[in-house]
Amino acid sequence: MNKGWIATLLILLCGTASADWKADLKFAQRLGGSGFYEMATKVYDDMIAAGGKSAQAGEYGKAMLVKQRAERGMARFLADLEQGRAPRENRDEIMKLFEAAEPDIRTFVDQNPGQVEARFDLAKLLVNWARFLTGANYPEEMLEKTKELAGKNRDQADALFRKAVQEFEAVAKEYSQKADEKSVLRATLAGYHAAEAVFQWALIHPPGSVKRIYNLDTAIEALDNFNAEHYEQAIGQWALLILGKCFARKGMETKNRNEDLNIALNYFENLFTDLKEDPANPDLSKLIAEGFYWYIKTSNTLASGEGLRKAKPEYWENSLRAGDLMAGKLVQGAKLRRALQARLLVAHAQAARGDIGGAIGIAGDVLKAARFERMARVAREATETLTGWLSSAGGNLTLGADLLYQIGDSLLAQKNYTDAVAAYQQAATAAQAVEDTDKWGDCWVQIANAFYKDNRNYAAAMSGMVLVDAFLKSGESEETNLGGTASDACNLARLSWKRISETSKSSGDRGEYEKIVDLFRTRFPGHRENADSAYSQARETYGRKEYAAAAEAFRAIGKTSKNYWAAQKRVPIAWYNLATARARQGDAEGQKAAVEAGLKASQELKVLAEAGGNTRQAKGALQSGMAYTALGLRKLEHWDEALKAADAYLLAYPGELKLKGEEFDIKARGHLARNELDQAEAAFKALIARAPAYKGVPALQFALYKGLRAGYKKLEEGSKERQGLASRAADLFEAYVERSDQKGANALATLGQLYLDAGKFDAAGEAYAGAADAISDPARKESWTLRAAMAQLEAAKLSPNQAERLRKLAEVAELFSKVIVKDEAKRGEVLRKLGNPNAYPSKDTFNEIKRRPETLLLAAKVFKDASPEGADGRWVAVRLVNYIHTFTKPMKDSAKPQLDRYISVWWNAAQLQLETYLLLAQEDPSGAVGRKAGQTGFRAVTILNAQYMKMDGPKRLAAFKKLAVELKRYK
Amino acid sequence: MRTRMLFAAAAAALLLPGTAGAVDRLEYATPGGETLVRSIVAVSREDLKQFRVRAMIGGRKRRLDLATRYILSFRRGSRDDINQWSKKLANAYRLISTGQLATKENVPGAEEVLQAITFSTEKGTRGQERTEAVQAWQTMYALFYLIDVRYEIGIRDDNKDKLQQALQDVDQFRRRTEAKRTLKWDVPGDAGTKETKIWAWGSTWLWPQVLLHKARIQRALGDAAGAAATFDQVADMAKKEELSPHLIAEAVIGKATMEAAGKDSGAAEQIYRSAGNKLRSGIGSQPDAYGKRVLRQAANLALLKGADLLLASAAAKQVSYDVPLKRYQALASAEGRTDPALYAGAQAGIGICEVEQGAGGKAYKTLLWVVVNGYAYPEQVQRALYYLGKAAPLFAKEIEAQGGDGATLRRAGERWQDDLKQRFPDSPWAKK
Repeated sequence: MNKGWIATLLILLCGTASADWKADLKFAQRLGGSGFYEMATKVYDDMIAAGGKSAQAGEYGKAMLVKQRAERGMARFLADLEQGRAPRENRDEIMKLFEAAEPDIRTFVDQNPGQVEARFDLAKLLVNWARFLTGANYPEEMLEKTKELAGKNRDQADALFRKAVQEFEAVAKEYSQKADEKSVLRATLAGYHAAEAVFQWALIHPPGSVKRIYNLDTAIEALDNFNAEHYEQAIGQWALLILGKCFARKGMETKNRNEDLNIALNYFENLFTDLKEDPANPDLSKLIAEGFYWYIKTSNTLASGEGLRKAKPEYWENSLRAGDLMAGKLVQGAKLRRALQARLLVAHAQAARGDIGGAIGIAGDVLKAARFERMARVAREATETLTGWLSSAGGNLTLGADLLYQIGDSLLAQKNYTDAVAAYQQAATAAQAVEDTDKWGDCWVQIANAFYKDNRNYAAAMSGMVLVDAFLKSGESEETNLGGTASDACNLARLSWKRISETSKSSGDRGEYEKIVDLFRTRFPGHRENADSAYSQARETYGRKEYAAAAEAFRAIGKTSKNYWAAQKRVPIAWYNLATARARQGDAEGQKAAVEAGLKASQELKVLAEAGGNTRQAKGALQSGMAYTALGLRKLEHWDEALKAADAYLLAYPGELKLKGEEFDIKARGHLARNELDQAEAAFKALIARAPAYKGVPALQFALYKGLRAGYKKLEEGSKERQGLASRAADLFEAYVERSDQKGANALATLGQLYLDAGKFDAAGEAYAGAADAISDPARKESWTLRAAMAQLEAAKLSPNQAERLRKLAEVAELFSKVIVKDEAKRGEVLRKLGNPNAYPSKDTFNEIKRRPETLLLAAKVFKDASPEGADGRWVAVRLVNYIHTFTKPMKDSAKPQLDRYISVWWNAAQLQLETYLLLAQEDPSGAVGRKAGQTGFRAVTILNAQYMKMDGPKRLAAFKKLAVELKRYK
Repeated sequence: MRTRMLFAAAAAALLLPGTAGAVDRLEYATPGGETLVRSIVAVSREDLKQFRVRAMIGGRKRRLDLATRYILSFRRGSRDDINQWSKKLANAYRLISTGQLATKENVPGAEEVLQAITFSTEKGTRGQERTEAVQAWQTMYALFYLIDVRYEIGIRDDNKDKLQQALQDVDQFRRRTEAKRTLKWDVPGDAGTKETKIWAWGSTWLWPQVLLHKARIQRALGDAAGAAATFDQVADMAKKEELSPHLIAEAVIGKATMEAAGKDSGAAEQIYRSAGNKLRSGIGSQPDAYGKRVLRQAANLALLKGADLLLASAAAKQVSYDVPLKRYQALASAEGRTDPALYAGAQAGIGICEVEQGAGGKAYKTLLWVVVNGYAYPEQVQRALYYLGKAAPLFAKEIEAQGGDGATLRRAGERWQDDLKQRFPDSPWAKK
């Protein structure tokens, strides 16, 4: 009755509805039902955006989604309590959802007053909320918790119930104003729910309290009227049940109310006398079972006099008769929870009448059925009933081995291990008395099992050995082994000794474990777990890093083992680990052999798995086989095959990275090996996207960088293609440096070079400057500073505006200052002297200048355009050229071939100096400095032109002649 | 011991839901040693050696004849019976089970109810005989339980007069076993005693048990020689008449218990050992497997009791634990091999000695054996659980000395102690 809100909405809107939004609505509802709330919300949002009826349905659906979440959470929470498990859902979160749901639905109701069903849903939400808030729908045995919750939240729940009843009544009134059949039906339903809500409302108040009795009386009045009106309908019968429950509650909770209990009996009796089971209507079975349960419960209360002034034992007979009647009436519903609970009540009546044997029979049947139907609570009740009889009889009550065994099983399922052991022990005695060896064996296995689960390992081991010893003495065959129990017991003893030896770490216990393992393997080789014993041993071998032996041991695990596939999957891993270990030892040959073995094992695993059928484990093994094959090929650097294997794996399992990202690593390296740089980079990008935490990322970045670097080195210098590749290499290298935390000076220098090659001068300058800062070796410091300066210089050249260019040049000049004058204290003074046309640098200054013509030339070029602080850069340039010319000669000397490189330096310096003189003269043609520069420049060019035979080429001569003409004007 | 068994049966019967109609519960053994339980609807003969009843067998009432030696527990009187005296007997049993033995103020106790029955000769009004008339057997069972009740009151309240009264009741019982229908007796009443005809019963299977009561009463009154003679009388009678082997066992052990009282542990152990040997020597003369088994078990219990006395004297530092340990080991490897009860007891004793000697690991495993395998003997399980709690930390120390981790064992020890309290809350071991 609570699930049809979507259907109802469809009915309400179908007059004008289009098929599309109905499908959307159903889809969203299914999404919500499956817990995909975000997706459902998105669908509803889309529906709202579509406008019209779709929007209305979307808004309603969205409002109901929170209700759906709250009620789904509540149902899961209660189901867990019912099963005695810790709830998976958080109660506070569910409460928050209830709180959130109410205003959503109420807003919709207010905005759409014609949508009566929404009001109905709101009322149901309020009832559920109030019941959950007070723990009223918690399992009956959690009475204390219910009391606590009810005590804490009663006021809030009162308000919720009040609103719920009002809403139900409003819905009933709204529908009752219409005459169509559907409206009449809905009005009836709302009326029933209103009355039932009052009954539920009563139950949140303490038994016997005024409010409880008042609400019960109110519910009785409402239900009585309702029943009179709808007696012929199924809903009238449900009302009858609630009516009976109201009287039963009143009767049980207040003294001297036998009368109420008798009225309740009459109501319940009507249910199972008037109704017949209908397979087409399972609700009817529920109703009948509920009726029987409450009838027998009420009758038992009267008979025992519990909570009443006087017991009326004759009512036991009533209960027994009802039990007989139930057997005939309930066939379909005989396994319903209420039906089983009713039978348990009959068992109590039977016991009270003295037929303890019959009572045990009924309770035992209930226990079996409840266990079969997985009704943990009923099984627990039946077990408690039976064990209660057993303990009160103090040994004078003997139960059969089967029933005792069932009791043990039930207690075991409840994790009541101590009592379970006692039950199994009694069952073992009972089985022994009738010489039922199989059952006796089963009991001992379970005793060992219960002790084992209870972490009483010595006791478990000892219990297991009871059977093993009996087997060894019996001379039974290994196949029969006491009905198959001895081998199970031996296995449990083995597992127990394993635990003991692992926790105690005692060598004695370890010895015991090894003894039992040996016994288990030799005496019960056919046991399904025996292979697992071998598996465990193989794992232990693996744990001791004896990889070769472990690989062989895993390989030897038989197909009968449940760990067969797990073992097979471990074979290649063991070999690969061996390879790693050998690599660490420097045993290259051994490493290769191990990898080859691993690859072979991987390929074998694939073949095995392909033939292993369509099982989940075989599929998993196939996946592993494919992944490990790729891995092996990669380790052997068989790149073509590795690439194919990785591609095949990723095609087959696009969503699963078995190797945690190495799949893409293999692909990238495979492409690299084939010089397919773009594909390699694409694989790398996929790796970063899919497995950013993959530990091999830096190594792969480095490999890729090297690949790209090798690639661009082959290309023409200065070409865009080269710069593009260099840029990608630089980016990869930089990312590698960042990721691997390798920010050393060398790395920065390499990066600087890469950026230089890529034409990214700013970045190059920065990298070189960083490298120079980080290094202490003076030679490399100077070299990298110089490179930084050169890169900056290039960057300055490319700078789009003058100001920027000058700023950069100043930075470059600063760098060159550092190069040419090492002593920081003297640097300013030296440069000022150099840059002053009227100053004459001393010998000290001369000594400060590095005797490296190329560097001086570069510095001169820079200072020509940029001035250091307090000096004129052009005079610095002029004087630096003087130094160059002092240190170098423009001649060839076969004995000193290194001098050859100075020839062009010498002439370039000379040309630069002449250009600088010209510049100075042009800037100040009438001033003293300008004139001096013009005269000096003209004199110099005249002398140089005279040495034209030594010049390094005709271009130079032409340049000098041109400079001579221009300087002549200023002499 | 027999009396305690009957009390226990009465208590258990009360705990179980009552059955409709006058049905008594008979528990008896077969010659092969199997135990059976029948619902008895009528008793036609219950003399010293023979028992004839109508029992529900296979859903029908059938005649059942058996020698009284096989009766394990039987008590007549039911609240479902229409006869008022039967109801009164049942009421007396209820009072016994609740410990309400003597009359207190105006609330009648079992003693008063039983005495009223035992001297009653009411014939009932005409036409109401079935409900009102007293039956001879009702007076017999009443007197039987009256003796026991008075003995219990005498012991409980250290009341010698009550014990003397019980002794007189024994004499009365003896007199009423004469082969007469009635005999004259000074019946006490509100106005003093008055000679009245009371029922006599002739030979009854309860007589040897009354004699056992007598021996205990004599012992309680300090008449050791008399008690010893009575115990011997019971044992001889049971042997000669082929009565219940339990009578022999109880007489021999009862006598040994009396003789051992106050002796040092070594001497006491010798007495129990002799009793055990005496019982063992009688096994051959038993006519069936049942008798042999009962005597063997009783003999073994006597031996175990002796060993337990040695253990007690070791605990009192009178002897070393080696003494009881050796005795337990001897028992386990000899008589214990064929008697699981003795074996469980001996193992528990061995475990306790080992704990006291500080051999934690050995003790832990020995005691664990008792818990795992000796579950049918709760007394042994209780003491084993108690000492497991002591053995576990010792064992943990041993493990730790070997470089292992004893934490799990320590926790296990605490858990065994918890088990003892949970499973046997009333056990003296749980309260230690």
